[in-house]
Amino acid sequence: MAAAKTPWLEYGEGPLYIRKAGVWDMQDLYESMADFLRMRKYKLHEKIYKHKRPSPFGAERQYVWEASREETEYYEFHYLIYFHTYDARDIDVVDAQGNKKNFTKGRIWVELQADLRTDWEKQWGSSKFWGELKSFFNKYIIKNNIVMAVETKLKYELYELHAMIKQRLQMESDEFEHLHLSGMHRKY
Amino acid sequence: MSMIRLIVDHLKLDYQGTLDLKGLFRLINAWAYEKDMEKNENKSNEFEAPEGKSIEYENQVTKRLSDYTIFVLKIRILGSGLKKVDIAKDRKKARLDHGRIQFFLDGFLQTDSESKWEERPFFVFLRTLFDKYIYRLYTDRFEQQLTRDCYELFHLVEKFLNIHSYPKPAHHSPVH
Repeated sequence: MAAAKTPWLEYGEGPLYIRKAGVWDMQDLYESMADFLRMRKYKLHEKIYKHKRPSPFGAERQYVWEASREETEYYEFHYLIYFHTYDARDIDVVDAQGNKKNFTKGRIWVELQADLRTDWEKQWGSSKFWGELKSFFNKYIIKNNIVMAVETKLKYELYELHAMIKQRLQMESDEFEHLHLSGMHRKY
Repeated sequence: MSMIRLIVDHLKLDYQGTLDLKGLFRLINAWAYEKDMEKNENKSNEFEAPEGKSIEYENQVTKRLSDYTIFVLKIRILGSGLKKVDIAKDRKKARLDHGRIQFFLDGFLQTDSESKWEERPFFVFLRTLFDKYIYRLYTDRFEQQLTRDCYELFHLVEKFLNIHSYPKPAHHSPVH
């Protein structure tokens, strides 16, 4: 799925891609991603959940999530998350302590995109003149605030989510260098 | 579209043996963090197979020097046949990876990053003129700095993988 940009999206980051073939804990991944967004006060909507008829190789599932948070009365953070599993089948895994767990074996594709919406209350959208004025306001008056503060925050949050997903999938590069930027106590 | 020039072309490192893959990623992250660069991982692919894990990572490390110039380092890490092995290090057991790793590094200098000089062909001409002749000194310095950064990272990775790097022969032999 191509995360298409709609006209009101002026700033953003991504899409970032993750692809893995192997074994992972789907339940844990699903819950961690939802928790990540929920703990940061995002409104999460599962727009699409598609379970296709299983083939001999396994099931195919498709998820599209949209999450948004009203950061201020002018800015809104918006996430578009797409993940798709192919040839997925459940397997039982026994860990070092002898506990039995249910994991998923197959392939997964994740696509993440974060966008910044301005004027989510539609105060400036009544006419073309106000639209132009808003564009001028964004481009020249508050540009520094957007680029240096708001967009950076959104970007780092997206990188954190990206790193968290890689950690849950137990990938090799699962670290995020800005994780402890605002204190050592923080975790995904 | 801003102007992107390739300055460091495809530094390549091929390694087969035992390595700490997580440590390698940590090294790159720490280096980028220390240099005040921003790392963006565009591609993160991993495939597990009976003969070992294959990986493909593509990172873009950027540093904004001014509102006109950006350093872009493109790092590509490919791995194949990677398997976990246990080794004894300082009388302690450590879990490392064994397999083949390829590391590619390209350095780009992106100028006119906000695409302000592209509205008319004449502006593009002016931009080229300024880059090449008027701000030549600054452009050269940026190129040198980028080259230095690229080689620094490359040598760090070489050191990390414990690869012997032989000094390159001098162009002019010293006169005794």
